[in-house]
Amino acid sequence: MATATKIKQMGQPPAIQSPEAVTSDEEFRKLLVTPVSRGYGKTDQPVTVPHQALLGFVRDGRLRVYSPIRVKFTQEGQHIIAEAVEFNEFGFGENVSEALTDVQHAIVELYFTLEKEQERLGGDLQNVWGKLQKMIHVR
Amino acid sequence: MAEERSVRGELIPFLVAALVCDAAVSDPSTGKKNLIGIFDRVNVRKFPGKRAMSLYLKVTDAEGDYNIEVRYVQMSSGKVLAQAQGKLHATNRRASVDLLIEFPPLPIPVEGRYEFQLWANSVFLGTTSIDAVEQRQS
Repeated sequence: MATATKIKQMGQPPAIQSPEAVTSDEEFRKLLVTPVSRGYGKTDQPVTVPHQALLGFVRDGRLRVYSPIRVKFTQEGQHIIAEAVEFNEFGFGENVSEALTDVQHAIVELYFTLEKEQERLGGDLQNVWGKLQKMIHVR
Repeated sequence: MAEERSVRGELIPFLVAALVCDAAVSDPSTGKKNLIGIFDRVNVRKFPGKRAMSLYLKVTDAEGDYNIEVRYVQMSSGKVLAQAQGKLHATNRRASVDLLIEFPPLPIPVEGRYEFQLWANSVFLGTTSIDAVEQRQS
């Protein structure tokens, strides 16, 4: 025998007050702008290569840089070479940004390769893996 | 009253967002930020050109005092065409900070990619870019 299910009519639920969304930083922090260059219309400007840079990111959402990575730049003909000094990793490109992006990818690849192979690393690579772990953490 | 001491930030802040837009406004009652006209490409009729741009940056994991620098760089030459500088004081590393840089018309010498680089205490934190392309006449 089928049993009739009693449906209890519920009263209207109390109106939920929508929480107000605000931000932790109430105002924009504004920076002062200073133009630094003249004669920008010239297209034959030589490529500007900085001597070195301190990297605070590696373009990979899985990794956070906790200690700046020192990168040295050199120019060979039309190419720029970026060297992550502590890890002996290199990146190449037609300009500084490309070389930097390339060396960042190399560092990420090195990190995950050494992490995977950490039980089988020789002395030199153990040393590099130790440095990487101090400077870069998984998020 | 105790004076707040300046402490150089040792943590490397994390760049959460970097967007180029026409303008940005903050709602005075909630602090919510509104970005107007976000873009990543500029059509230029004739090079060299110029265009005003605003840069919105959101950073977190900052604690202490930082010298902040934003460089507008022509990628093909690596040349810094403009820069913005300022100080950032962050007391809570879990909170985020919104930065806005309202650049005056920025030079766009030739077709190509231009990068906005964010530096804090001379450490490179991240970048966003725009492409300048020649507007074809129809």
